[in-house]
Amino acid sequence: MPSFTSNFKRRLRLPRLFFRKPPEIESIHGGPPLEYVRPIPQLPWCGITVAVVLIVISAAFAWELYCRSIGYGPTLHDNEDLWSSARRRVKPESIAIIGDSRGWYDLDLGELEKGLGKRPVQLAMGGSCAYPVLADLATKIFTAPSFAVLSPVCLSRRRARRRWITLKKPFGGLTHKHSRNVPANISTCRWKNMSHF
Amino acid sequence: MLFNSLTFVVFFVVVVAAYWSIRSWNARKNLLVIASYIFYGAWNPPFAALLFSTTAMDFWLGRQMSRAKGQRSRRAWLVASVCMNLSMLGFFKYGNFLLENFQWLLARIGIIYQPPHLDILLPVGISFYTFHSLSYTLDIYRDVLKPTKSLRDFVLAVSFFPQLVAGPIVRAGDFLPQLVRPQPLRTGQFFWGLLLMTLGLFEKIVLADTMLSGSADRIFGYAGPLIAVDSWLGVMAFAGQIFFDFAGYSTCAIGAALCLGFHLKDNFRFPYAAIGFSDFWRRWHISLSTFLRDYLYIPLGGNQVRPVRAGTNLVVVMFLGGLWHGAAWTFVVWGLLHGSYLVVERVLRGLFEHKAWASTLTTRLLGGFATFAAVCVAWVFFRAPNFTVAARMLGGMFGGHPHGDAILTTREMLQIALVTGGMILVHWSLRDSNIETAVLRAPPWIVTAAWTFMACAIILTQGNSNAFIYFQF
Repeated sequence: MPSFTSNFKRRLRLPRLFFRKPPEIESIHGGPPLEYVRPIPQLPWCGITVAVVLIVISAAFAWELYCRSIGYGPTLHDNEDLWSSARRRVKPESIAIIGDSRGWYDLDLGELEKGLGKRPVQLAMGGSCAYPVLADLATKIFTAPSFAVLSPVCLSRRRARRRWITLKKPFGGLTHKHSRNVPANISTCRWKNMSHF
Repeated sequence: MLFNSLTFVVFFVVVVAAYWSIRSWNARKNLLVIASYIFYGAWNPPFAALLFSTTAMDFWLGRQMSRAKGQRSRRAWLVASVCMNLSMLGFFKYGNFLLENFQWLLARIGIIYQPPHLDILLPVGISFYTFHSLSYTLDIYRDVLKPTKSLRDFVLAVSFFPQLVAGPIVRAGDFLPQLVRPQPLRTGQFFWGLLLMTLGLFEKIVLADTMLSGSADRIFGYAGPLIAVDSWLGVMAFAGQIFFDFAGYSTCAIGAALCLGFHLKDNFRFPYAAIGFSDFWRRWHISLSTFLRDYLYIPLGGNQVRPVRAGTNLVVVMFLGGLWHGAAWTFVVWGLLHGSYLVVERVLRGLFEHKAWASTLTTRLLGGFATFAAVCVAWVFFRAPNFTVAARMLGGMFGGHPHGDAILTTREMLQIALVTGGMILVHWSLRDSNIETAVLRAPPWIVTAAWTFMACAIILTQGNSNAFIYFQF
């Protein structure tokens, strides 16, 4: 009498692959693996590989042409890896831009380079807060007695001052002064690490 | 170095080309040792020295053990090896965890102790290569392996780059015999290895990172209460993500090893089609579960002891298995949950195994469904950063937040349903078979189409170069 399982299989008319136990000759890994020898399915691998390579190259080429035809061009993938790469470029003498999307989108690094004499490192991130990055830079990079942090005026010094009280403690004795001999839309907060005096 | 990076593609092409262009077997092995240390050192060069020192110590201890005359001295050398390996693992992986818990314990009895925070960088893959190396001395002690005379061979067995940082845990006893003489490359082996690497990268880049990780991260990162549908879908997304992430790495490792002429055993065998938890652990991270079984569960007495003791053994083994994954109490709870699942299953099997209805298809399907659901519940503790998040997720899953938030979009819900549904279907259809059999049965044009599709999907999605989840272990 056929079992419930076999009836089930017959009713569903599933393909052979489904619910079929492989015969002994195929069951190389069905049971415990054979010692150190993996099964290699015997197929026309050379032909398959050549076909795959040709199709993939053609498809990638066609996709690239299509994307360019609708106006896309090669650009950097602006992601966490790129930010990490920029972060690694920060040296004690660097100018780093930190902050949120205003610093990210609204500052022209080329123009800043003309005004400041060196190209700033862009570390601003959309939707982020500058202070953890500032703390990170202050403790790990700018160990010199003083360093400069540029803050766009639109982020307001008032906000920086308001934050100053909370910043002072974790920074372990950092003080800051403002200097005004900078390009029109930029003010410089100069932080001095008192522990180095 | 990540498998899903262009750096690895260049590295692999250079290594494979150089490997097959060299005729001397010793020179090939030297090349692989150098390549493996470059692969590991690319992340943090000083830790390559740590890897070498662990390996060299175990090589020496293995030799001393084989020379020892009595059982007591053999045991002493084994204890030295176990202590050395576990103290290394303990310092780097559990140092801060132990200090924090020690501080907490003292605070409970009224002693205020402020330990210094140790800025310990966890060497990537330390849990894996420690076990690779430890298996050597353990097998020599058990008399199932003779010590190798070549330090170079043992260094290669421990550090072979495809399996070095995220498994599978390849025992020295499985790999060293392959280093005795060059393995002939069988027909199609190289291309089959390439296809497996493509499959592994497809699982990681397309399915885990692109289709599932975003939803899982959003659900587990959400600070508010969630409704049941979103909570369950978030957990299912993580269940799929961690499978595709880890199985993808293992598949890549097996494929890369095949391209170099080596054979690594399976690490996964369609685990989400498991019926019962013992079946699940015979299919999930097989190299770890067999390691724990052979070196811990069986020495503790296995199931050849009284039922209560056997149940305790299971819980102890799964507790340590959970702790192996990470230095956090959430991992411990994950392990204990699996341990208790195994105990409950053992009791139920004892009661109902011989009943006629226990082997019907309906029961088996229900058993499979219950297993998957319980495994998903356990994944909550694995993924949640702390117990607050875990409790909130479980509350959402079991109807605790009927008026909670629904944050998944329809597209994300469909995406999770499609991918996890497809995954479960494939697992059930191949649960008594294997990928080789499935490919063998398929016509060549289907294999070509599938391979092309996976390669194109990898190129189009590109991924975010996310590290594999198991790198942190």
